[in-house]
Amino acid sequence: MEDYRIGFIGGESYLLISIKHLGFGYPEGDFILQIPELSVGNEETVAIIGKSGTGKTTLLNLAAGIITPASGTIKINNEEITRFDDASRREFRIRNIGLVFQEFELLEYLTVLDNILLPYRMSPALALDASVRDRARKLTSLVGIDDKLMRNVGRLSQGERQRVAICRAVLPEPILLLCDEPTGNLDPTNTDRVLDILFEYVKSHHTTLVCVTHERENLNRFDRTIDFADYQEDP
Amino acid sequence: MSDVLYMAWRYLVYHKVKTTILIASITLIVYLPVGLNVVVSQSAVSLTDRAKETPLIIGAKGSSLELVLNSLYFESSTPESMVFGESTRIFDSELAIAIPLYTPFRARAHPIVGTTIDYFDFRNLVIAEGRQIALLGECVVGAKAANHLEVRPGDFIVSSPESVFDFAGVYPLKMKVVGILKSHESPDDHAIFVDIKTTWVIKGLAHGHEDLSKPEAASRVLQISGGNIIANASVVQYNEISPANIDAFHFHGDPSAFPLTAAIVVPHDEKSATLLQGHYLGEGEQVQIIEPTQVMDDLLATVLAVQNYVITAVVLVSLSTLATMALVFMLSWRSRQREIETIHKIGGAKGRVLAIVASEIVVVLAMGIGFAAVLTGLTAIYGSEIIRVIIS
Repeated sequence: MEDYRIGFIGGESYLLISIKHLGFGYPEGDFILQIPELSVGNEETVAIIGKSGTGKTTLLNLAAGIITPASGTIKINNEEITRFDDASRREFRIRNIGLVFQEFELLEYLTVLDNILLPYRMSPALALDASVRDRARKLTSLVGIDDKLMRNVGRLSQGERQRVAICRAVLPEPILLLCDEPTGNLDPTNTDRVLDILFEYVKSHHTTLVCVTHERENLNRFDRTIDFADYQEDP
Repeated sequence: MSDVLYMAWRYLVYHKVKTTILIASITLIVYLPVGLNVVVSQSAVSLTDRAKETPLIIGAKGSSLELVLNSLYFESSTPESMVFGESTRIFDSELAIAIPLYTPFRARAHPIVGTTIDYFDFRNLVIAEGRQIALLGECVVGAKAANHLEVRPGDFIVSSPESVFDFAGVYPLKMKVVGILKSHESPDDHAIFVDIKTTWVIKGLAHGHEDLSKPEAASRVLQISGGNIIANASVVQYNEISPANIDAFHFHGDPSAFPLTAAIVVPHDEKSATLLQGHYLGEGEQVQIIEPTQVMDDLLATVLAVQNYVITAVVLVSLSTLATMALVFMLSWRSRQREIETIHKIGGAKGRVLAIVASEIVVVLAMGIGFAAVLTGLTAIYGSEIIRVIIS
C-alpha cells in the first residue's frame, strides 16, 4: 500500500507552502485542526485526501489566507501571510493564488468571458487590459469553450462551467493553484478532461497544485498525497 | 469605477424583470407628485387665462361650471340651451355686446362652434389661410383641427350625424372650408367655426330643398292648400349649401326662439357689467349670468384641495414602495451572500462588492428619476392637451 503521508521535499528555498505549528478551530463547534509541519515544494502537485470533516477545505482556506489560524505560521512563496492584514491577504491571494471550487462558484449574471475576467474586475491589484482579454480568449480556446465566450454561464454544462472556473483561477497566472474537489460534481469523462486541463496547465506554467479530492483512482497523477487523517486531533 | 458600473449594469440587465419593476416604481414615485403639480399649475394658468379674457357669460340656468367649460373650451357635455332672444336682449340693454355660441355639434370629434364674426375679433383670431366666413354653410377651421382633418380652403367637412336611427333628427351637413386659423395655442385651434345660422341648419331649423312650385316637382306634391305645399318623402333635401341652392334655404319659426348654448357678454364698462348682472337676479329668470373667473377660481380651489389629498396619498404610497424596495435590496443582498463569499475567496476587494451594490441602487434611482424627468417634460409640453382630454 502506497504511503500517502507527507514527506519533506528539498530545502527551505524550494518550498512554496510552508506551514508550521498551525492550530485552528472554529468559534462554534469542537473541530480543531493542528498541523505541526507541512510543506509543499515549488511546482509540486499534491493531493489531499481524508474523510469529510477532517479539515481539508479548512487547510485550503488557511493557505489561501481566507481564514487565519489561531496559532502558527503560513508562508506562501516565503511571504508570511499570517502576518498580513485582511486587505493585504486579499491582494496577495488575487495576485498569487488561483482557487477552483467544487460548486464552480460562477456568477450567473455574467457571461463566460466576464466570469473569467472577474478577478480583474474585483480588485484594483490587477489591471484589466487588452493583453489580459487576449490571454483569457487563449485560455478558453485551450479548454474548448472559446465558442461560448458571450454565453451566460447558466446555459453551460457542468463540465463547461468547471472549465470556466479553471480559466478564472489561472488567468492572473498564479504561483499556486488550490482546488477543492474540482471534479466532485462531474461525470467520469468530464473528470478526466478537467484533470487533464489542470495538469497540463501546472506543467506548462510551472505552477504548484494542491488539490482536495475524494477520488483515489486519480491520485497517481499527483506527485504526492497527503492523508488528512494524520492532522485531525480527537476532541 | 468602470468595472464596478459594468458589474452593476450586468446584474441589473440579467435581472430584467426585477430591475424594470424597481425603475418603474421610482419613476412613478417621482413623477406622480411632480407631474401632477405641473398639470395643475398649467391648468391653473390655462383655465384662468381664458376665463380672464371672458368677462361674462349668459346661458340657461343649470351647472355654471358646465356652461363655462363649454363656452370657453367647447368641451364637457352641452348645457341646456337658451333662446337666441337672450342674446338680442343684451344688445337691447345697450350695456354690452353679446357673442352667441351654439356648440352641440361635432365633426370627427372637433366641436362645430356656431357664432358671429364678433367672436374672431373678441378672441383676436387671425386667419392664416383663406378668408372669413361669408355665407351660410361655410366654415373656418382652427389650426390643429385643420391639421388633424387634413383640410385646406376649398375642402369640405361633414358634420357628424347625431343619431343614425333618428330619421327626423339632425342630418350631416357638408360645409365648405373657406379659411384656416393661425395657431393660437387655445381651444380655438381644435374648433370648426361656422355662422350661427349654419348650426341651426344642422339642427334642422332651416333647410333647403328643390322648388316644389316648379312643374318638374309635381310628382312629389301631395297637396296645395293656399300658400302651403305638402310634399311626399321623395322631395330632395340639400345636405350641402352651395351658391346654386343657397336661395332655397329658409328658416321655419321665429329666430329669436332658436337655441343658443351660451353668449359671451362683453360689457362696455365695469358699471355696465354690474348693472347687467342685476338684470338676471329675478326669481323667474330662466337665464344665468356668470363671471367665468369666479367659476374657475372655485374649480381651481377644488382641484388644489384634491391635489393635496392626492399628493398626500402618493407620498404615503411612495413611502411604502420605498420600504418595499429597501426590502427587495436587503433580500437581494442576502440572496447574494454566496456570490459575495466567492468574490471574497478569490481575493476581491472588500469595497468592490459594496460599490457594486451601491451602483446598482444608484443606477436604478438615476434611471427612475431620468424617466420621471422625461415624463415630466412631456407633461409640461403636452400639459394643455392633457387638460383638454381631462376636461372633455
